[in-house]
Amino acid sequence: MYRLLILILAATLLSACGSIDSETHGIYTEIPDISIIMDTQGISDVKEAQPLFIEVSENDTLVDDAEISLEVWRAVEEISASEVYTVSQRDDGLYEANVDIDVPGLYFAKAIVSAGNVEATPLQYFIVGQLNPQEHELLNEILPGDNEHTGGHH
Amino acid sequence: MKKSHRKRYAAIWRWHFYAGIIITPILLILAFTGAVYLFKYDIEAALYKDYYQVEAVGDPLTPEEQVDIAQNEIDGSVTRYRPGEGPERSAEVAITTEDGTSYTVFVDPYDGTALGVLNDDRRVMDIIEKVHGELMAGTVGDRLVELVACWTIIMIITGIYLWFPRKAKDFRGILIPRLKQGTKILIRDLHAVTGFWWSGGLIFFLLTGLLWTGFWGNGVQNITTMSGAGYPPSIWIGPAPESDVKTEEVADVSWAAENLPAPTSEILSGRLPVSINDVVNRAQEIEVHPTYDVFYPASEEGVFTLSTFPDQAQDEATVHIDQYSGITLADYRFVDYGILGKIMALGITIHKGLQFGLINQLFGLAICLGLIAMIITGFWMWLRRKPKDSTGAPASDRLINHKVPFFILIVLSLIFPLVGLSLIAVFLIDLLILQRIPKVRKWLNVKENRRSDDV
Repeated sequence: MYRLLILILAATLLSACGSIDSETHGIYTEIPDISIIMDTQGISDVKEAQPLFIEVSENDTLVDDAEISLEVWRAVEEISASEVYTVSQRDDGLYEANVDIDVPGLYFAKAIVSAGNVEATPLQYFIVGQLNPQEHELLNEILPGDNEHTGGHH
Repeated sequence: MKKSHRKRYAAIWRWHFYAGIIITPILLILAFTGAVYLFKYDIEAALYKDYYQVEAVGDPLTPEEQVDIAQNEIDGSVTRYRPGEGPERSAEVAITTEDGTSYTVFVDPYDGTALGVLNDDRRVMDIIEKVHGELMAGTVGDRLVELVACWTIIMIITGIYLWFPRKAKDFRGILIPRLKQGTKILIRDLHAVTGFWWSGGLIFFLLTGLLWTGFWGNGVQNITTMSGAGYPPSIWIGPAPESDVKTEEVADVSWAAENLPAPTSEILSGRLPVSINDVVNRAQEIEVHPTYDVFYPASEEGVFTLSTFPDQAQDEATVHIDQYSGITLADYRFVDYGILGKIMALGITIHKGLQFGLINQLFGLAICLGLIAMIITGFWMWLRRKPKDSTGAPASDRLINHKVPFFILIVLSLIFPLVGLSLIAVFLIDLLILQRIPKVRKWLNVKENRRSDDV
């Protein structure tokens, strides 16, 4: 009887071993390693045709056949008021759109990216000049944490 | 019957008897709540008719607008959005308040009316489900349910042994109950014959039900998922893929650093989670079954998860979407499950009475009612012959003297570890308590100077 009890206890402890981690997904599917970076640093003032760069890479290699369009709108307005820009490919494999900024404030930029079987819709905010009180409030809502964000000039 | 057979019969009867006495109260609860839960969707459709049904007039609002309407009703974090599966079904938005209470707000997607709010902890069918799955007692309840389910399997095996015809000349009392030979015979036959006919269905419901349990179920899911034969990770067990958090957009990009000034503050620009509108659009593009829910990311690394477990297992889907890029990280459908995963998925939809519609519900109901009938008739038989001064259990005998039952018990203990642990508990109770209290020993019909294997 004691042998039986030891056997049961050992089996019970063994059954608790083993765990599943994020690597286990690889057994069932291939998780795409795609990175999309939107660089809004070129948009610094209230003026026309400022560059917004987009980098699409898969497994650390630039993807040069993506189809991309870009929508930009003031954060205090609806997306339906967005300006749609064509995105062209540069020689170095990056993508570029020239964005017009009429007034300072908080903006949203959304890229619609189609690359092979991958569809993506990354969304990014950026600030040009000073924010008005409504935009301050909105910025504090969309940013994680409870910190008060003041925004500011480039 | 030979003397050795008589002893074996008595020993097995004793196990059947005590297991029955101990587990039947919980088993009765499981059978009753299971019978009700089979009709969950019918009951909820009737209970919440005013919250569910809408008139399809004009174009619906966007999901984002519907979520905003819900947030005007309840202040908290949105955890789930469910678009209606048809044009006349309301949308649902689940919101968790600061104190951790979860509410579901029903929204008319056409006129933007908040149709009603339900506290998720107080939904009737959720309470039934909690009783059925864990007796509303958390982990302790979950383990108790698992133990009862495992011991019910032992009850069925021992019951089949007791039922097995040894000297019958016809099938009356074996395959059909004897209706005209008095109440005692009739009750015995209803217990034993029903038990025989129901045993296959019961075993099926017990094994598929055990998949939900926290110990055995998790263990099985763990092993099958890791082997590639089960569900893909994150559906039952294991983490979802993580979103690619971008905290330093520009600093990581060498080409940008060469051409542009470095950022003065990370606040000046940054990535935001994609809109719920885009997530819903993606669900439509990749043709997820319309009964899906969208679960919001629970952390910065979290993902949007589209999840649906509709009536037919073949329509199930679990899709993880990166919250910052909208990229589909994993799209798991029934075809992606391993062979055991497919079998389990089908078993679960049948267990819930969904896979084959009304026939499936009636089949489940018959199993539950049959189980209730067996419990009642078993209890009745016991009361009828129970002596006043003892349990009326057959005399104990060392189980190790009966090789086949002993071997079966070992195998079951290995397959169901909680059975093994409960045997250890029985052994200790016998050793430390029963053997020291003559009155209790006599009441349970346990012989003196024997160890736990006497029980």
